[in-house]
Amino acid sequence: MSYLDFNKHTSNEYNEELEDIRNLLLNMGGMVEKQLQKAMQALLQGNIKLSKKVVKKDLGINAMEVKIDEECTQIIAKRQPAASDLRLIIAVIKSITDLERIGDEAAKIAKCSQYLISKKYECDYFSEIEKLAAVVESNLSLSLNALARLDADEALKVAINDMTVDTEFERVNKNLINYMSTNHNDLDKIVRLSWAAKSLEKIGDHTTNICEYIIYLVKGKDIRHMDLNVIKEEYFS
Amino acid sequence: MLNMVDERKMETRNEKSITEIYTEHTKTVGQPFCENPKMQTKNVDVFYANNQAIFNVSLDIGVNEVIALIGPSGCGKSTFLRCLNRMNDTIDICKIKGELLLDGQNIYNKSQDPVLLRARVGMVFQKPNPFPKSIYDNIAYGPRIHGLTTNKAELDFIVEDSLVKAGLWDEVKDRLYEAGTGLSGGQQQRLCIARSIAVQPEVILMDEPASALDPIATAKIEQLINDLRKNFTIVIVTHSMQQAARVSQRTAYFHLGKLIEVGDTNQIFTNPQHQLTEKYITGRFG
Repeated sequence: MSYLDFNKHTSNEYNEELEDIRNLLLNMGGMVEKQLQKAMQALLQGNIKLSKKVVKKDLGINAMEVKIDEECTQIIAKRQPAASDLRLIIAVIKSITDLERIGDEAAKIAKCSQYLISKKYECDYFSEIEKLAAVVESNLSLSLNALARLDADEALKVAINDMTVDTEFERVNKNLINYMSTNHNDLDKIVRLSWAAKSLEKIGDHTTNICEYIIYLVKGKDIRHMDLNVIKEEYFS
Repeated sequence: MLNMVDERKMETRNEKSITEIYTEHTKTVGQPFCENPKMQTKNVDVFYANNQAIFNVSLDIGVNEVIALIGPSGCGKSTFLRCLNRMNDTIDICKIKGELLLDGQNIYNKSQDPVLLRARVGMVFQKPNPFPKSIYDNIAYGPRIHGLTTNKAELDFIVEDSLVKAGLWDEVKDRLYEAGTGLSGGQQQRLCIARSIAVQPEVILMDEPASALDPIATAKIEQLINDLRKNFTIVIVTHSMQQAARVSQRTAYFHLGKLIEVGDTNQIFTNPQHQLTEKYITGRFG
């Protein structure tokens, strides 16, 4: 369905309203993406100032969610959107919920780093979390590109790639548990590292949700809770 | 920040014009046929003199379903509707090809009496058109001329029953002998619906039945359509997308005489399969 174009309505005002919420959504996506990058930077570099900034900035993301929700409500009330317009509004409303939660997870990572920095804690496992974060950040970035370009094929690829995040998370978690069994004095710190890893894994899940909304928007198919390989076979062949 | 947004977007689409899409369209998309049809049209063409208004339309109308016909002005939906009870017979230059069946019988057979056909396939128009008679006589008119009753008691019953079914009884029961034209617009339209159901039709055709009514009267007509579906098959032409979405189970989209797409109403309004349907229902015809 390459004919999804939200700028061709008879009403120019309607075009602008839809374009506006798309831009707001992508702005929010960009903000969340930066929050994750900064939270990881704060954790890996032990930058307390940056971690505090991340926690503070999360309030802005929350406000953005409320603003976009309000604009969507206005469009529904004024325009009674149908077909792709309706799917766009639904996809936006749902995506911003996931973006807001990604923002929350980034803030949690920043809080974990604040604790670890305050204890001046260092260990080899930071680099493992860095690897996990690289996959998560890449997936989030690709999903936002797919959202901007209404690219369902790319969205499916990213959703499938969430398996890499899960595998990487399992590996990191297993290693951290082993490390806990031999470092009883550092349990509080290792638990914080484990929480950060769990936050990354959750961000992966939220990213997958966003990909599912992109596919819903472009293909008109609700693929949630379906096997991704079945989806590939049925809707992408 | 906006630059980042723009970078993410990729505006490289090459869109076809509406005319190109229309010209390329050859076969109705979706499900024009159903398992239990009350009426069927097969390869119907309609001409006004040398101008073709309908092109090769094949469509089933299911028993006890409400099917909405939508499309821009001049797309042929009203012409098509009027073919279903031979209202176009009165237009000399109108010629119809193809088959139109009611319960499997061709309604354009020479042996088919159009008056009897219209008793089975009733019609409600855009503008309420009550007879300049009393409310009672408006309803009683059809049963009388079709000889559906033998005595006054039976006729009284039909009048009351029709007005109850049309949701008008409580509002007019104390003034049945007052002029039908004295009712409000919404009441007049429900009177016309009561008049059409008084002769016990099997199918009711509605040509924009609520377009001249306020939102409250419209809501009453829509509720009525929903209630009538239990006993009748309804074909409704409407310009209101929301109305089509609210009252019908199936929706058929016409464009310049071609039947472009037919489908489950829920699907048509959330995920239409044809680009023209998508463009029309989202207001992208500029």
